[in-house]
Amino acid sequence: MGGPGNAKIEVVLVDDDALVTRTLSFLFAGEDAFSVQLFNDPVAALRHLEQHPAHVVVADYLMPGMDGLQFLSKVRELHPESSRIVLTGYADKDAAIRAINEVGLYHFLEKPWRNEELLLVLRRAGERALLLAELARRTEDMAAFREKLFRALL
Amino acid sequence: MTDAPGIPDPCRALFSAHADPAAVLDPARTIREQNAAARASFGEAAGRPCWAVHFGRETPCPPCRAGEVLQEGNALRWMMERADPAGPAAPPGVWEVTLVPVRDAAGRVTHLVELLRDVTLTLGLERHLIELARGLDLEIARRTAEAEQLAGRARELQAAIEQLREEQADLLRTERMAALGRIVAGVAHEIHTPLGAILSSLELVRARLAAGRTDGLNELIDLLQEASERIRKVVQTLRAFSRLDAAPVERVDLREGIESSLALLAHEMHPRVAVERAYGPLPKVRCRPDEVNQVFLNILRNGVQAIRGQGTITVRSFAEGGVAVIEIENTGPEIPEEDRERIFEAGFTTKPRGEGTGWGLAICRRIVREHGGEIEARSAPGRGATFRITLPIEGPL
Repeated sequence: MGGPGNAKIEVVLVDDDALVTRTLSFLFAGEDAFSVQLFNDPVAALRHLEQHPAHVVVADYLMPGMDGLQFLSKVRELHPESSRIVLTGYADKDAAIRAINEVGLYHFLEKPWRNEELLLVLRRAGERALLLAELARRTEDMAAFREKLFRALL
Repeated sequence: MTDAPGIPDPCRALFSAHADPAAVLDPARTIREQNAAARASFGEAAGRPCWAVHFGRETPCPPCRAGEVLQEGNALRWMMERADPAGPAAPPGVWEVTLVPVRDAAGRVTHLVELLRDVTLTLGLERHLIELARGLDLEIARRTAEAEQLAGRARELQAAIEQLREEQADLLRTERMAALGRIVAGVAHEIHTPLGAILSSLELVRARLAAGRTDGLNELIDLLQEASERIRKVVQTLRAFSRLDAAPVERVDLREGIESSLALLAHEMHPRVAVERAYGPLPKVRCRPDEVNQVFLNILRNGVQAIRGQGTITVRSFAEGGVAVIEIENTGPEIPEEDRERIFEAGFTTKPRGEGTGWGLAICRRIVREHGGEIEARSAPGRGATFRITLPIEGPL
């Protein structure tokens, strides 16, 4: 694994509306920087995430079965270093504030979205997650090195 | 009587026949003559001092004003109390004494006529009357104060009621606006989602055309078409719900209102909550369609929120003797018996803090009652909850 610059950003996006996922599949088809998994069912998305961590997880706010906040707080438990994003048309400021506070939201995106903005947010969110992962790896390396040094000195 | 020079003849008859004791005194206040009443009260007393006879005293009475009468020649009257009986028929009490001067031809006062009147009873009566009057005054004052206090309380209550009414009206307005806000937020989502798809696809189509690519163009245009249709449908639903085209009071098919409410909630329901319709024959009902639709939306939304996980909402409609009946049943948890009335009270909510204001059902009941109808909740363990709305077909509006 190299630096954040040349790794693909793993994205999981859930929206119960197929119109959204179908449109986005066209958008992401032209973007090499991302590897995107699209879901219409949050439960299926969660099952996928249990096996495959993602750098960025995007969810609608209103979804049947499990709302976006429940879903993202489960994601936070699974992968705390992931960047979590809400993409919604539900124009409710209270809901946005709650989302930010309750699930440590990285960004609150509103529908209708602009492709450029969506890609930019996803890229930054991905870089943040990659950096966090890198930081964790280096910290681990450092701890291992310190351990090795400590033993050598004994 | 021959030695009674002082009284002029015309007065003598009056003196003798006077009903109260009367006596002629010389300037030294010795009794010279008595009338019959005086003799009856004090006995034969000519030649004795008046204080001894009339007041049982050994010296002149201190309040006596004989000196002034003699000197100034004017009749005077005062009252005196007598402690001991002074004669056979003269009990103790209060006596009114009147001394009248009698003049000779030269104008000098030569005698005094003393008129005595027992005013004990009169005085007692007066005192009693005064006390009575004072008591009455006190009573009147007390009652007046009471009445004023009551009036003050009534005014305060009136003001409090006024204020409460205003606050309630404010709250109702606020809640109606909040309910509208929730509808708008939900509808905004319903429009923003396809709009996002449209704008996004448009950019992609443009980029392809600019690059001379044709791959995916058909699919993208299909998406554009589909998303546009979606928006048109949302707007249609919204129009049907708000009845923008309808008169404030109109004869409507209630089932249409239920259907437009269900359409507005589709996003919150699908596919978790299924809808079952059991529509029976139902004549059109005279009502305010926008308000009645608000009731349906509220009850349906409550039902959707009450159902945890999968569930069903059943809507029934039928007519029953001039009354339209709508039943909205959900498979959510039972409403405890003690809450079945309270849920219609303003400010009562079983939802978590921040989710419900507790005003929705209070507004529903108010709207339904303004229409001359009633709304009530029925519930049993394991059988969810049913809201029954009755509206007279010929409403009072």
